[in-house]
Amino acid sequence: MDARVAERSDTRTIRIERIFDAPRELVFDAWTKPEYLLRWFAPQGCTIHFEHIDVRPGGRFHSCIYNPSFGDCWCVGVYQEIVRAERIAFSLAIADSAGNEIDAAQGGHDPQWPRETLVRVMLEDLGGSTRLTLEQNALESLARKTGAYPSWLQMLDRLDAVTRTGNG
Amino acid sequence: MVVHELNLTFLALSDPTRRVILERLRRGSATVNELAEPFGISQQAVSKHVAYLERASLIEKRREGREQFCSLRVNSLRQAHQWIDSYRQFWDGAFDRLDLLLEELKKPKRRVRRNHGRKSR
Repeated sequence: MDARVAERSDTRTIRIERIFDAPRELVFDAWTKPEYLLRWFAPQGCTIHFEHIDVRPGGRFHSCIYNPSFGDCWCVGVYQEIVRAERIAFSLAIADSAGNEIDAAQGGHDPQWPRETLVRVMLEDLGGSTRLTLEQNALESLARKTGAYPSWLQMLDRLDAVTRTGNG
Repeated sequence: MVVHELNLTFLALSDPTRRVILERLRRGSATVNELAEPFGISQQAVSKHVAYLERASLIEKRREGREQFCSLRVNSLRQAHQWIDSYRQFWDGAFDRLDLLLEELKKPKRRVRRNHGRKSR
């Protein structure tokens, strides 16, 4: 379907918009029913397995994505918010098979990856079809821990202007 | 350590005073004294923030005579951009599969109604 990536590269937030030709309720089910998640919640060519999943606010999941080229990639997360047919938010962190959070490099990933990110999914009814907006943010997840403000995003916007002019 | 560099960048940016310092340095290098001016806090307090930003590789200091000048380093910000692409690829791939699943989920309902003439609830 129509895929649009409106990336705010300046803020370390990934923002992806996509329209699915299905009602909101169905898209929501696909995100919240484990039997559906098993069918799609991994890139092409990969399989996903849930060691544990409890889809409700405060509920945790522990998953393993098997990638034929890279092997197992374990993740843990906690659902922060679930509003039927509207919103889902969860944290996502690289983990080991026992469910302990680990550093990206230990998990065989690019060491520059943030340890934990926050994923927020918003669903909008377009009369039969659904606009899904996904935001994944390393800053926000850290901000929650450190009690900082989202105003640093504006800060980064401005800093990015400097980055682009290329002095330094 | 490299592993923590990115988190260090983000943590360094989490403080409002440090953001103002970076904001000031966008306009050019400055001494710690000059950086301290707008805050009404001690030079020592500002020095701590400056040290934090230096550890996060967001700024660098250089000595000229008796003065130490701070200036912005943009490379560490560039590095922080790189992780975005990997995540984007993940979602694009997964969403292609979600599309297929949704198509499949929509079908059975229609078929039930058409083939068996079952009334919807």
